[in-house]
Amino acid sequence: MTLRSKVNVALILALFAFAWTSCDNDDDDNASDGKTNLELQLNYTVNGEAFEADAVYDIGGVKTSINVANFYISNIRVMNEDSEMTMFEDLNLLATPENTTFELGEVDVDHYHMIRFNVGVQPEENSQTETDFTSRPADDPLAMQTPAMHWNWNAGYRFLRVDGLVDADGDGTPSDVLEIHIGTDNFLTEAAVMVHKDAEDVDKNTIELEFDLAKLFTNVDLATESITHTGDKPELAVKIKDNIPTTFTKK
Amino acid sequence: MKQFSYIFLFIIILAIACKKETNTPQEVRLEIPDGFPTPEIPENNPLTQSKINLGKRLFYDTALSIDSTIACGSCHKQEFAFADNKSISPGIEGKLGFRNAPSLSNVAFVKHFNKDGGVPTLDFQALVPIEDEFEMGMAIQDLANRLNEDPTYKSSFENNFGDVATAFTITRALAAFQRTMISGNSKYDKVMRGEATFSAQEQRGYDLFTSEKAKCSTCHSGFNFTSGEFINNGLYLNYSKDTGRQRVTIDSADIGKFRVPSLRNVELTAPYMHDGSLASLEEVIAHYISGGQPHPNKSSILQPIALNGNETADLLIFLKTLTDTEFINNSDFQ
Repeated sequence: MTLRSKVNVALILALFAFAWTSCDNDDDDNASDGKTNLELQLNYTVNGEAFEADAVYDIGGVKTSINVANFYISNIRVMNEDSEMTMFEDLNLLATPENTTFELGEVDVDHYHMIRFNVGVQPEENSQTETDFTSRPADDPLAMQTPAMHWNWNAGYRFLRVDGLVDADGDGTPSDVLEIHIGTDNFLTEAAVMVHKDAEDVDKNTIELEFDLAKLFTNVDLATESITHTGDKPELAVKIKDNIPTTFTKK
Repeated sequence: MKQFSYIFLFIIILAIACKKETNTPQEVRLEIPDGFPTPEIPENNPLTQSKINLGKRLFYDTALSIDSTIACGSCHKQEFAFADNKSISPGIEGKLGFRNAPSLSNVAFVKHFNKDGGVPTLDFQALVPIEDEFEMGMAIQDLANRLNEDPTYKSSFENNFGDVATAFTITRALAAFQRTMISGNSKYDKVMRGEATFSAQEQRGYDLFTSEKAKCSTCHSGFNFTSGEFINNGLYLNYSKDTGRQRVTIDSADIGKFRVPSLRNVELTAPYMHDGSLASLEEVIAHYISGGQPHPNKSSILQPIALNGNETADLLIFLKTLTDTEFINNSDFQ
């Protein structure tokens, strides 16, 4: 290669490098434009006390212990004081007593007025027609879980799963099955909580909510109705669904 | 310039030489009988002979149940067109569910699975019996772990899917095998193809089957003798033991509705109805002659039918022409 050729190659490389850097995304400039990361923190409680798996609680006068209390959250929206929504459409979160903190993403909000979300999975994903739970990567909350959040006989997800024991005979010891499995598109439930919190000038803001399991069973006599898989006992499932929005409050 | 050509050629040769040898099994084309549509094969589960063989091995393997006592083939027996001759087939520890085992013949053409249509595809339908506590009682992840402990299974899954046994690969292999269970060589089919003729009585039965009087073919229509719809046929006044389609839709208008079954090989699939409560075809015909119970969701098609004894016998004889002996003796399924 002649000296002239070498110079030409060097020039071309320099031009390429210049073009590359000049087309750089300007996103980095947004670091200081008011966007902060937002996380959602759930605090599991029963009658206002911190939840402990297998501990015995009095729920509506019935001694009850719970060992599974898992549910999906989707279609999350955060509203500012001007009623402008920031949506986190693609997020599907699986809340369990062990998994209660979720990164939602970046938000440009000065004041968090309200958070809204669905308890459950959106119909297009619940239908299993595009991607089913066997096809999803293991780290996807919509992949198969242990304990199972999928239904096999009615392809779709248990939106809410609460398992445990209740004291149906009143002998003071929970020994009868508690199995609350709520699902199907009709049972996708909206929850909305007033947050009223100013965004702080920090890397991450947190919306902290209390999730009180006892409120799921308002107007439910667990001594006589403690099992529903939605379709087999729709009356109980409807009561639970109607209670879901009341279980979430601002911490 | 010439140097560049040599370098380029060298890179190509190197790329070809270093290419990992992959075993790309040839896709199997199903033999579709005349008059049948082409079944849909999902892109992510192409049919290969090796995968069908793996699915067949799984189908007959009791290792799929938690106590290794029940296989798919325990309740779906080839001699009964892959149905069972029991009202409710016992699962692990003799447990009884609440539905009659359906025939798997022509399952490749079914659009909704289970009698209530709760599963949208054959490709993961096998999760239902595997995980059901009254059938095999096996968590699919535990089954995957069990199968992966067997080197022959593990390598077979890897060869077919490039992955070990998982919920995805187990269900897809089973689906591949079941897709091959095509039944289309009964006497009825031969008559339709001009290879045989009905006897006079069979012809009378066929005419009755398709007549406005009996209306059988209103629901049992098409090449597979089913409309695929969900119908309440007036079997009961009270469906509290099994509400059928309502379990899926949570709609009271769907109480007592079940998917119309195919009538292919119906002679072999007794007992009948969603719960196996009618022991014989004679009882089934008697039910439809009666018009069924007056349940509010009962299909308006179900009305009392005035059939005499000879007509009933004719209908019965026609239904027996739907038996495909080649299907129930096909060694490919054994």
